[in-house]
Amino acid sequence: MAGVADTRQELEALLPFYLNGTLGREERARVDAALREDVTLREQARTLEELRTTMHDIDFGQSPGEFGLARLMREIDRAEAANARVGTSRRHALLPWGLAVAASAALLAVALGWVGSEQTAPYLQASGDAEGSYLTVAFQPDASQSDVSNMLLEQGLVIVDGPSAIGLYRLSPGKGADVEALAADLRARGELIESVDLP
Amino acid sequence: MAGENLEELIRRTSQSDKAAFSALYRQLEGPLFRFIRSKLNDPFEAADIVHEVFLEVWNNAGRFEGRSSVKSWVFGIAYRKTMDVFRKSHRIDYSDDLPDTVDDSPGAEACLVSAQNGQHVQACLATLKPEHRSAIELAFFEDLSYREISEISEVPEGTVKTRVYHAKQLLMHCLAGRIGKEAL
Repeated sequence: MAGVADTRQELEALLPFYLNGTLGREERARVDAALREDVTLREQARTLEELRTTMHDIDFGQSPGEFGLARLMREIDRAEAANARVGTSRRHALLPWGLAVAASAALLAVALGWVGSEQTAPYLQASGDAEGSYLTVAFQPDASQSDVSNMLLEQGLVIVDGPSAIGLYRLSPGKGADVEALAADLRARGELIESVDLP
Repeated sequence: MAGENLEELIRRTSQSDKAAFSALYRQLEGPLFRFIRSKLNDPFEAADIVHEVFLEVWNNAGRFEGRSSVKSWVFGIAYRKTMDVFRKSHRIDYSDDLPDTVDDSPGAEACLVSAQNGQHVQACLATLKPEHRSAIELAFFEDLSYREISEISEVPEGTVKTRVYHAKQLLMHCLAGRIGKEAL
């Protein structure tokens, strides 16, 4: 009986891969033969096919798409430029902090609705808004991405450039913001921010 | 370059060919995002992991040895990163006790997983252990073989088959609880 049960369970375990068309010829033939004989197994197959179809229809939202590619290329270009300056291999250039802050910038970009917008280029504000006042900051090396992201969102700030070779980031405040007051607020966040400079 | 051979794209990516890397990204980014997003329920975090995965692909393309398919290799990176996030940030206890069959009357299980119950299926997927969820998603979203899923998740092939089997059983149990037999 154990052998029969094992065979049955083995066949049931093969069914998902029978349905997605990835079984080899021998296993496929084995499942085909069992399906011809076994009503319950056919019922299992029907359930799994229904489940497969239903799962395919689940909407998990829009992927980063071209925005994500632009973000990647920007980071790769930056790393290559940094490597060119220090003469090291590009393979070792993507420091965790660079990743974390770029991720924060992208997270903000997503939050601001840039993802999926074909008319809005990523990092648009970096190249397109030359009139505003900026704050130049250095984050604490151990500041977490989520803490930095939350702080930026709270203060209405966007990373528009950085990191520089010495780890500085340029932040753009919202229109009409009191930059002096913002700088004071940031200086009070010593756990996250090492230094704040105004233009 | 859409549809171009992934092995060729990874070879050229290893030579710092950004056009090839872009083509690779365009082929795999959507499925990777879905795979990661379905487990994390946070689109921002999922987008960040996709980003990290592709940076790793860019940095390590030269180390791809062709022992597995490119897709398996890239999904393997995504799987490890997703599991790391899960282990670090999630504290949910998942049940992995295999329930009894929900209802063995003809058509009952198929009704539970039908399209009109899609939201329930999604909710029940979220209750699965990430290992179980990954296995069934890779089988049903990406149509990967158990060998490929075994390479991605670095477990024996038999474990993959068992995980998919358990995932299905646990899903049915969850759906029965959510929908109730009166809906059948």
